[in-house]
Amino acid sequence: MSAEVVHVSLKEKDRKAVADLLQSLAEDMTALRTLNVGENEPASLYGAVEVEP
Amino acid sequence: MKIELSDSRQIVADVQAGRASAKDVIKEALARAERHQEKFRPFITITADLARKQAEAVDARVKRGEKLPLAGVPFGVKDLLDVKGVATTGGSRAFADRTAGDDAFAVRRLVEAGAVVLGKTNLHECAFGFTGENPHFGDCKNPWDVTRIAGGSSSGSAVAVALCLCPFALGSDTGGSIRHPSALCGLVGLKPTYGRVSRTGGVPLSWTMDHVGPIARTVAEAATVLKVMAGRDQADETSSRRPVPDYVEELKGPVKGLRLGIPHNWFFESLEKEVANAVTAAIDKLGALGCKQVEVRLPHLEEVVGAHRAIIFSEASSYYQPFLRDRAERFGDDIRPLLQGGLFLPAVDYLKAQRARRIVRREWAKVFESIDCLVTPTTPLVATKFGQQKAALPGGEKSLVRAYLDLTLPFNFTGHPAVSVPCGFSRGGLPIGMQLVGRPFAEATILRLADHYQQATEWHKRVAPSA
Repeated sequence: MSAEVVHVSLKEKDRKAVADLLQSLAEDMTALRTLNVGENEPASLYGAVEVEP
Repeated sequence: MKIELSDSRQIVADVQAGRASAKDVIKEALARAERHQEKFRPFITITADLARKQAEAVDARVKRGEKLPLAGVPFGVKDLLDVKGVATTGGSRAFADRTAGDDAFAVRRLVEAGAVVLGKTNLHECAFGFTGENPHFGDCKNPWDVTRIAGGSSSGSAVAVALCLCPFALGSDTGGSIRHPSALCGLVGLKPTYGRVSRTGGVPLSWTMDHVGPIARTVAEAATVLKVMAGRDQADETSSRRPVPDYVEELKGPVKGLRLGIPHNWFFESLEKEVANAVTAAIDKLGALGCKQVEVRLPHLEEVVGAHRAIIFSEASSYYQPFLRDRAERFGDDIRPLLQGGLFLPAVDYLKAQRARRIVRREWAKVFESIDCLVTPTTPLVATKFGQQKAALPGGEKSLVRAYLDLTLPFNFTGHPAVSVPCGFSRGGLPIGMQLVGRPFAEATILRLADHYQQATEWHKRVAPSA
């Protein structure tokens, strides 16, 4: 995805740092991305613990 | 009389009894703060004029016969929480001119209770890091060894308390930012349940995982501060309507029979030997106090790390997007890419993380049915040297961000309350922390357990050599 798509201009030095960061995040998110959350589990309500299980 | 700044209860007793005035206390605190500022960088702004004014007001209220739970107690405020008329920098030059129009909710409550704002404490820029290195306002040095990090991101808050400049300070915690510097500086750090303390007047990093809490020398002081700050705030929709218990009174209850969950998966798998030994000894001490050990396993921790990443980067980028457009170059070179990175994360990752959150909470609630408190190390290793990026731990080399925060961030994701308590020192004299985690809104239980532990041990009585 290019920086133009997200409406932010990235300097050359930041492009490399952001690319490295996204690579690192992808590694950390491997298990999350393959987690089966079922078909109907909704997204959490704004972090509130008391109205949730 | 000699004024000790390490014990808020003594200050309150002296000010209420007229043995000292709040003005005397703040004079001593300001002198000490100025003395240590250059070397340790605990503050971004020392609020001398405001502090004198607030101290005068406290003395007048005491003279009128008011009983104030924090009469004349100086405290530090992490510089991402507003103090009226003072800049809230968030630790960044990008916001050096952002003057607060009002006090943050938590600050207002504390000032109403008689506490006095000593200054705005230094932090890792935008609270987006754990070392306390700050290119704009100077690096926070660890009072136990100035060549080492203080931890973060509430670095200055921990340094100020460890140096006995004030008995407590406010921090915020999105992945461990209260508990981590508390553990590395030999202090008590409490992250309350999500919703227990309002975040109004705080600069967000991640709305669904940000918490405000105290750093103090003793559990009893942290309990006093929590009692003052906790409660419903109409301006923060996530703040709870639940009644606030008397956390100080609750400390007196028994701990015998409490069931301690020891999660041997994840939390004990990769620790420095000295940390493992200290935490094991602390668990044995809790056993000697009559608590029972229960082996438990918390599921989905690798998924939790990924979900925490997806949420914190997405929400941080959402907040900082306008500032990245108009002042990107004013952020530090290490922080700017972190703020930009979330702009490129797919929305499906964020939603998957929030969906996973419900599943994890549900499954962990089942684990907590069989226990009253979870016990873990707060960090797997003691404070590292400045500039260090990785740590050699049993099981292999780890990046510090994974090593340090993997044990604390799960409870930002789920919202459980967690407190770090000093439980030992390395041979090199560096503090070690134990983390106690409770059921949602069961702060009273973990504080009681932590207080009983402190009554039975001496770790919290050690004072940093630099203080």
